[in-house]
Amino acid sequence: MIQTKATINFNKKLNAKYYQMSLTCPSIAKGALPGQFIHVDVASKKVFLRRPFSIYKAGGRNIEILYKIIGAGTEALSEKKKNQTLDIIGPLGNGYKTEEINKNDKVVLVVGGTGIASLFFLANRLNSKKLFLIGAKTKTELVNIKELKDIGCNVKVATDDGSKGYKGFVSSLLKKTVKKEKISYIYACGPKPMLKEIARISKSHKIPCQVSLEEHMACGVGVCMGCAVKIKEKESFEYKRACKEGPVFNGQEVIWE
Amino acid sequence: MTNPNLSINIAGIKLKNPVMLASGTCGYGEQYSELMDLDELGAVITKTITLHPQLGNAPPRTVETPSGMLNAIGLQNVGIEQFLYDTFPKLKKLTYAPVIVSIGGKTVQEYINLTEILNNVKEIAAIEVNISCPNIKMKNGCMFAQDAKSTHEVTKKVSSLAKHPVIVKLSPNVTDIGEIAKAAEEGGADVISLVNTFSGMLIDIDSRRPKLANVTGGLSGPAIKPLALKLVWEAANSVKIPVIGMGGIMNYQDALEYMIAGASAVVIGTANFIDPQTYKKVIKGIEQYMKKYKVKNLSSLIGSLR
Repeated sequence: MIQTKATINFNKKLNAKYYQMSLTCPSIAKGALPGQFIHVDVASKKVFLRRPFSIYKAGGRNIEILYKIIGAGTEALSEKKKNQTLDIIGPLGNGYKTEEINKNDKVVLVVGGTGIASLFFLANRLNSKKLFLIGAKTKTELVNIKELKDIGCNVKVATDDGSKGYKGFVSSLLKKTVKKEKISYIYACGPKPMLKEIARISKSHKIPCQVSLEEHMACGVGVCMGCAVKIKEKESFEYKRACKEGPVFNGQEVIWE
Repeated sequence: MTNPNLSINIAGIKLKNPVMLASGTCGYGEQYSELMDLDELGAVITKTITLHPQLGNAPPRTVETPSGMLNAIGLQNVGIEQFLYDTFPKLKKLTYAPVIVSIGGKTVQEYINLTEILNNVKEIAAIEVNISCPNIKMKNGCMFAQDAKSTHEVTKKVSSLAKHPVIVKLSPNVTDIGEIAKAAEEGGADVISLVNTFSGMLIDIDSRRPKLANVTGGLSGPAIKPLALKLVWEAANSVKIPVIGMGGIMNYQDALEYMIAGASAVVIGTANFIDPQTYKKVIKGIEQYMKKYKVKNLSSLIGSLR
């Protein structure tokens, strides 16, 4: 983990709410793994704490994040300009585990919203067969699908309103997929209700599943115990830190509430 | 002028400078040792340890507020046994800075047991008796620190047993801080530290539910600084023992305000989450201030409010 000043290379608007930002920070880019995040001081008077963002890309001297405006923190971030600097801490948390994945395995990556960020990074590092399922409210929310195809993903889309691809939740699309095809592994990142459903589907089809949880964080580095997640432990449970033991957990270990 | 002397001795606790990290905002050093030079600190105060492991409260446990944050962690910790076996030896390897161990309990007996256990550990600089965690209450729904009698009782029991200097950490959620501060002093506290967090809450208007699962939590950050500063000033004027001041310190100017109000040392808490380098800037800022105003020793700064 490193704290550094990172220079903004670009802060590109992708659609009404989504942005993609590139930052120069070689020390973080070097060791970053898919599923890890950076904790960003957005340097705004309207915001007090840092904000966590999944790493979307990491290579050479740069990292990228992909974010959606959801509040004052992301709003402030969207206003940043090229060549400004941001104080960031990273890479943080544990990434996705991939030791069990072989070249001939078919892996499904399921995302909702900005969940695409960490799973794009993972897909880019996986050399197995990759099916990428994306869920969105409507087609105008979909971003960077071409990039996914360019890295060898078979991409399928589900929209709530049916404006593109399958009409319905992405979890339903996953259910259809696992009934038809032999899937070796599932990775998922997105809103909690979606992850809960995906964990349930993976369990009933006996497919291993890792989920990345988005939690509000204070310190982001493991000291404050603020981002607690309820995780099964023997006959009971314990609270683990999304920022330290997570944000990626085994889908069957999370106690969904 | 020659370099100012930032060292200070508080009731036998020798600090090379008056800047420490607050309990609950630096864990046990293992994470921040990667981002900070812990050796540069006056002292590190551990997250509160209880007699038995604590699961902590249900999430959500933190929420941002204007210029601050609310937390209701619920003292999640591994308990004293695991702490002494594993956590504390690791922390001692990470830093030469004095380590102050914070202890918490629900009964006087738990504080007594913890004190007795810690008496066997030489490498501790002091114990901080946390009687003011707003998330852990006594049977009557109050904290020890909200009642002069209870404050006196815990302090007296712990102080009479402890082989280490005893710091009693007080709550801001009281009607008369002077009375509580005096109760701790008369109970035998070597030092008092304040403030712990202010009780507070936030509501989500869409769901009409509290934003913290625990409903209420403790407010920290710059939002509380003027409130906390006034309490530190009042407490310092009520007792003769040294006072450690904290509450929303974000920079060296904040730290100096506390010292001028009467604090012998200051503690950085929530600011660590925003910028882990805050401690360094505060130490440097105090040093430069002393040079500018030709202050040779910290002691001539403490309680120098005109």
